[in-house]
Amino acid sequence: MKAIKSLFDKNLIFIKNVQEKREIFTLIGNLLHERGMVKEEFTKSIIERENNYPTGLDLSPVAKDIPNVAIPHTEPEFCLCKCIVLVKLLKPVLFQNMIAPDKEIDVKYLFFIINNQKGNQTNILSELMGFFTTAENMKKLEQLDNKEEIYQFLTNKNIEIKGVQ
Amino acid sequence: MIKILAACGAGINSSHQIKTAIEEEMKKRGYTIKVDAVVIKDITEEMMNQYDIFTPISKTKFGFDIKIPVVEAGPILYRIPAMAAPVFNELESVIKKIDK
Repeated sequence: MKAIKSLFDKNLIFIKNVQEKREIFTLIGNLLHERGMVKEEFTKSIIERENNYPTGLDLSPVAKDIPNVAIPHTEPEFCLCKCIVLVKLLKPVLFQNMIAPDKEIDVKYLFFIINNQKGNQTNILSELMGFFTTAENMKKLEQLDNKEEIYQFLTNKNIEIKGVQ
Repeated sequence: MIKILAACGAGINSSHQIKTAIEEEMKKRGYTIKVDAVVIKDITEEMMNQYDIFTPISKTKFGFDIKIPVVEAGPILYRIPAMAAPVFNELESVIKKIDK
Protein backbone atom coordinates (compact mmCIF):
# COMPACT_ATOMS: atom_id res chain seq x y z
CA MET A 1 0.00 0.00 0.00
CA LYS A 2 2.91 2.28 0.76
CA ALA A 3 3.93 2.20 -2.89
CA ILE A 4 0.53 3.36 -4.11
CA LYS A 5 -0.46 5.94 -1.49
CA SER A 6 0.43 8.78 -3.81
CA LEU A 7 -2.18 7.48 -6.28
CA PHE A 8 -5.06 8.41 -3.98
CA ASP A 9 -6.49 11.92 -4.11
CA LYS A 10 -9.02 13.66 -1.84
CA ASN A 11 -10.89 14.78 -4.94
CA LEU A 12 -11.06 11.24 -6.28
CA ILE A 13 -12.95 9.70 -3.37
CA PHE A 14 -16.71 9.54 -3.74
CA ILE A 15 -19.67 8.37 -1.72
CA LYS A 16 -22.57 7.59 -4.06
CA ASN A 17 -25.96 6.01 -4.27
CA VAL A 18 -26.74 4.21 -7.54
CA GLN A 19 -29.02 1.43 -8.76
CA GLU A 20 -26.62 -0.53 -10.93
CA LYS A 21 -23.00 -0.63 -12.08
CA ARG A 22 -23.54 0.98 -15.47
CA GLU A 23 -24.84 4.08 -13.70
CA ILE A 24 -21.71 4.48 -11.56
CA PHE A 25 -19.41 3.81 -14.55
CA THR A 26 -21.12 6.56 -16.54
CA LEU A 27 -21.06 8.96 -13.60
CA ILE A 28 -17.36 8.42 -12.80
CA GLY A 29 -16.36 8.22 -16.49
CA ASN A 30 -17.98 11.56 -17.29
CA LEU A 31 -16.48 13.19 -14.24
CA LEU A 32 -12.96 11.97 -15.01
CA HIS A 33 -13.34 13.06 -18.62
CA GLU A 34 -14.44 16.55 -17.53
CA ARG A 35 -11.29 16.76 -15.40
CA GLY A 36 -9.14 15.69 -18.36
CA MET A 37 -8.01 12.48 -16.68
CA VAL A 38 -9.38 10.02 -19.22
CA LYS A 39 -10.36 10.06 -22.88
CA GLU A 40 -13.96 10.39 -24.00
CA GLU A 41 -14.13 6.70 -24.97
CA PHE A 42 -13.15 5.66 -21.43
CA THR A 43 -16.74 5.18 -20.21
CA LYS A 44 -17.77 3.03 -23.15
CA SER A 45 -14.56 1.04 -22.83
CA ILE A 46 -14.82 0.39 -19.10
CA ILE A 47 -18.47 -0.73 -19.38
CA GLU A 48 -17.61 -3.07 -22.24
CA ARG A 49 -14.59 -4.43 -20.48
CA GLU A 50 -16.48 -5.07 -17.26
CA ASN A 51 -19.04 -7.08 -19.25
CA ASN A 52 -16.38 -9.20 -20.94
CA TYR A 53 -13.85 -9.42 -18.12
CA PRO A 54 -15.59 -8.72 -14.81
CA THR A 55 -13.65 -7.34 -11.82
CA GLY A 56 -15.82 -8.09 -8.79
CA LEU A 57 -13.83 -9.62 -5.93
CA ASP A 58 -15.59 -11.86 -3.47
CA LEU A 59 -13.97 -11.19 -0.09
CA SER A 60 -15.88 -13.91 1.75
CA PRO A 61 -12.77 -16.15 1.72
CA VAL A 62 -11.04 -13.39 3.75
CA ALA A 63 -13.79 -12.86 6.33
CA LYS A 64 -17.53 -13.43 6.41
CA ASP A 65 -18.54 -9.99 7.61
CA ILE A 66 -16.74 -7.66 5.20
CA PRO A 67 -18.10 -6.02 2.03
CA ASN A 68 -16.96 -7.03 -1.45
CA VAL A 69 -14.96 -4.80 -3.78
CA ALA A 70 -14.47 -4.37 -7.52
CA ILE A 71 -11.44 -3.08 -9.38
CA PRO A 72 -12.79 -1.68 -12.68
CA HIS A 73 -10.05 -0.79 -15.15
CA THR A 74 -9.44 -0.66 -18.85
CA GLU A 75 -6.61 -0.42 -21.38
CA PRO A 76 -3.96 2.30 -20.82
CA GLU A 77 -4.84 3.92 -24.16
CA PHE A 78 -8.09 5.29 -22.67
CA CYS A 79 -6.38 6.78 -19.60
CA LEU A 80 -4.47 10.06 -19.38
CA CYS A 81 -2.98 9.71 -15.91
CA LYS A 82 -2.18 7.23 -13.17
CA CYS A 83 -4.43 7.24 -10.10
CA ILE A 84 -6.93 5.27 -8.04
CA VAL A 85 -10.54 6.44 -7.79
CA LEU A 86 -12.43 5.11 -4.78
CA VAL A 87 -16.21 4.97 -4.70
CA LYS A 88 -18.06 3.90 -1.59
CA LEU A 89 -21.62 2.90 -2.48
CA LEU A 90 -24.35 3.55 0.04
CA LYS A 91 -25.99 0.35 -1.07
CA PRO A 92 -24.27 -2.51 -2.90
CA VAL A 93 -24.74 -3.19 -6.63
CA LEU A 94 -24.29 -6.48 -8.48
CA PHE A 95 -20.99 -7.33 -10.18
CA GLN A 96 -19.80 -10.55 -11.73
CA ASN A 97 -17.07 -12.35 -9.84
CA MET A 98 -13.68 -11.90 -11.52
CA ILE A 99 -12.47 -15.44 -10.87
CA ALA A 100 -15.87 -17.07 -11.46
CA PRO A 101 -17.69 -14.83 -13.98
CA ASP A 102 -20.89 -16.91 -13.91
CA LYS A 103 -21.44 -15.85 -10.29
CA GLU A 104 -22.83 -12.49 -9.19
CA ILE A 105 -21.79 -10.76 -5.99
CA ASP A 106 -22.86 -7.61 -4.11
CA VAL A 107 -20.15 -4.96 -4.32
CA LYS A 108 -19.91 -1.92 -2.06
CA TYR A 109 -16.47 -0.44 -2.80
CA LEU A 110 -15.07 0.32 -6.23
CA PHE A 111 -11.37 0.98 -6.70
CA PHE A 112 -11.01 2.20 -10.29
CA ILE A 113 -7.43 1.70 -11.46
CA ILE A 114 -6.64 4.48 -13.94
CA ASN A 115 -3.28 3.90 -15.57
CA ASN A 116 -1.94 5.30 -18.80
CA GLN A 117 1.36 3.41 -18.57
CA LYS A 118 1.90 -0.04 -19.97
CA GLY A 119 4.12 -2.37 -17.96
CA ASN A 120 4.11 -0.21 -14.85
CA GLN A 121 6.72 -0.93 -12.19
CA THR A 122 4.48 -0.95 -9.16
CA ASN A 123 1.84 -3.59 -9.32
CA ILE A 124 -1.12 -1.50 -8.21
CA LEU A 125 -3.49 -4.43 -8.09
CA SER A 126 -1.18 -6.51 -5.95
CA GLU A 127 -0.84 -3.65 -3.45
CA LEU A 128 -4.62 -3.15 -3.35
CA MET A 129 -5.13 -6.87 -2.81
CA GLY A 130 -2.93 -6.71 0.27
CA PHE A 131 -5.22 -3.97 1.57
CA PHE A 132 -8.51 -5.77 0.75
CA THR A 133 -7.44 -9.07 2.23
CA THR A 134 -6.68 -7.49 5.59
CA ALA A 135 -10.20 -7.71 7.04
CA GLU A 136 -9.60 -4.87 9.55
CA ASN A 137 -9.09 -2.44 6.66
CA MET A 138 -12.46 -3.21 5.09
CA LYS A 139 -14.14 -2.98 8.51
CA LYS A 140 -12.52 0.40 9.07
CA LEU A 141 -13.74 1.66 5.67
CA GLU A 142 -17.27 0.67 6.69
CA GLN A 143 -17.03 2.95 9.73
CA LEU A 144 -15.89 6.00 7.78
CA ASP A 145 -18.54 8.08 6.13
CA ASN A 146 -16.81 11.16 4.89
CA LYS A 147 -14.24 11.57 2.13
CA GLU A 148 -11.68 13.35 4.29
CA GLU A 149 -11.62 10.53 6.86
CA ILE A 150 -11.39 7.90 4.12
CA TYR A 151 -8.50 9.75 2.49
CA GLN A 152 -6.66 10.10 5.81
CA PHE A 153 -7.13 6.40 6.46
CA LEU A 154 -5.91 5.26 3.01
CA THR A 155 -2.80 7.41 3.18
CA ASN A 156 -2.03 6.84 6.84
CA LYS A 157 1.51 5.57 7.24
CA ASN A 158 0.46 3.18 10.00
CA ILE A 159 -2.08 1.37 7.87
CA GLU A 160 -2.03 -2.38 8.42
CA ILE A 161 -1.20 -4.61 5.51
CA LYS A 162 -0.58 -8.27 5.62
CA GLY A 163 2.98 -9.01 4.58
CA VAL A 164 2.26 -12.09 2.48
CA GLN A 165 2.61 -12.53 -1.24
CA MET B 1 12.35 -24.20 -20.05
CA ILE B 2 8.56 -24.16 -19.68
CA LYS B 3 6.79 -21.23 -21.30
CA ILE B 4 3.59 -20.02 -19.69
CA LEU B 5 1.05 -17.56 -21.10
CA ALA B 6 -0.89 -15.44 -18.57
CA ALA B 7 -3.78 -13.28 -19.76
CA CYS B 8 -6.40 -10.83 -18.58
CA GLY B 9 -8.80 -8.28 -20.04
CA ALA B 10 -6.54 -5.23 -20.10
CA GLY B 11 -3.18 -7.00 -19.93
CA ILE B 12 -1.80 -4.64 -17.29
CA ASN B 13 -2.98 -5.56 -13.81
CA SER B 14 -4.13 -9.11 -13.15
CA SER B 15 -2.00 -10.91 -15.70
CA HIS B 16 1.14 -9.14 -14.47
CA GLN B 17 0.38 -10.02 -10.88
CA ILE B 18 -0.17 -13.65 -11.89
CA LYS B 19 3.08 -13.60 -13.89
CA THR B 20 5.10 -12.32 -10.92
CA ALA B 21 3.50 -14.72 -8.45
CA ILE B 22 3.98 -17.79 -10.68
CA GLU B 23 7.58 -16.91 -11.49
CA GLU B 24 8.46 -16.43 -7.80
CA GLU B 25 6.70 -19.57 -6.57
CA MET B 26 7.95 -21.89 -9.34
CA LYS B 27 11.51 -20.62 -8.87
CA LYS B 28 11.17 -21.47 -5.17
CA ARG B 29 10.00 -24.96 -6.15
CA GLY B 30 13.02 -25.35 -8.40
CA TYR B 31 11.58 -24.97 -11.90
CA THR B 32 12.89 -22.86 -14.75
CA ILE B 33 9.93 -21.18 -16.34
CA LYS B 34 9.10 -18.01 -18.23
CA VAL B 35 5.73 -16.26 -18.06
CA ASP B 36 4.45 -13.70 -20.56
CA ALA B 37 1.44 -11.50 -19.70
CA VAL B 38 -0.87 -10.43 -22.53
CA VAL B 39 -4.34 -9.06 -23.34
CA ILE B 40 -6.84 -11.87 -23.96
CA LYS B 41 -8.16 -10.37 -27.17
CA ASP B 42 -4.62 -10.31 -28.64
CA ILE B 43 -4.24 -14.08 -28.29
CA THR B 44 -4.24 -16.04 -31.54
CA GLU B 45 -4.00 -19.78 -32.10
CA GLU B 46 -0.44 -19.33 -33.39
CA MET B 47 0.56 -17.39 -30.25
CA MET B 48 -1.00 -19.98 -27.94
CA ASN B 49 0.83 -22.80 -29.72
CA GLN B 50 4.16 -21.26 -28.80
CA TYR B 51 3.49 -21.86 -25.09
CA ASP B 52 3.38 -24.96 -22.89
CA ILE B 53 0.72 -23.85 -20.40
CA PHE B 54 -2.08 -21.24 -20.42
CA THR B 55 -2.98 -19.53 -17.11
CA PRO B 56 -6.04 -17.26 -17.53
CA ILE B 57 -7.87 -15.75 -14.55
CA SER B 58 -10.95 -17.87 -15.19
CA LYS B 59 -12.37 -20.09 -17.94
CA THR B 60 -11.78 -18.27 -21.24
CA LYS B 61 -13.31 -19.06 -24.63
CA PHE B 62 -11.56 -18.58 -27.95
CA GLY B 63 -12.56 -19.09 -31.55
CA PHE B 64 -10.19 -22.07 -31.62
CA ASP B 65 -9.49 -25.13 -29.49
CA ILE B 66 -6.79 -24.73 -26.86
CA LYS B 67 -4.27 -27.54 -27.34
CA ILE B 68 -2.08 -26.83 -24.31
CA PRO B 69 -2.93 -27.49 -20.63
CA VAL B 70 -4.98 -24.75 -18.94
CA VAL B 71 -4.61 -23.82 -15.26
CA GLU B 72 -7.10 -21.21 -13.98
CA ALA B 73 -4.98 -18.83 -11.91
CA GLY B 74 -7.53 -16.31 -10.54
CA PRO B 75 -7.25 -17.36 -6.89
CA ILE B 76 -3.55 -16.36 -6.92
CA LEU B 77 -4.67 -12.72 -7.13
CA TYR B 78 -5.88 -12.71 -3.53
CA ARG B 79 -2.33 -13.06 -2.20
CA ILE B 80 -3.68 -15.50 0.37
CA PRO B 81 -1.39 -18.55 0.56
CA ALA B 82 -4.26 -20.97 1.27
CA MET B 83 -6.06 -19.82 -1.90
CA ALA B 84 -2.97 -19.78 -4.10
CA ALA B 85 -1.58 -23.16 -3.03
CA PRO B 86 -4.04 -25.36 -5.01
CA VAL B 87 -3.29 -23.34 -8.17
CA PHE B 88 0.48 -23.61 -7.69
CA ASN B 89 0.18 -27.34 -6.95
CA GLU B 90 -1.88 -27.94 -10.09
CA LEU B 91 0.60 -25.91 -12.10
CA GLU B 92 3.51 -27.86 -10.66
CA SER B 93 1.92 -31.20 -11.55
CA VAL B 94 1.36 -29.97 -15.13
CA ILE B 95 4.97 -28.75 -15.35
CA LYS B 96 6.24 -32.14 -14.08
CA LYS B 97 4.29 -33.96 -16.79
CA ILE B 98 5.69 -31.69 -19.51
CA ASP B 99 9.22 -31.79 -18.11
CA LYS B 100 9.48 -35.57 -18.48
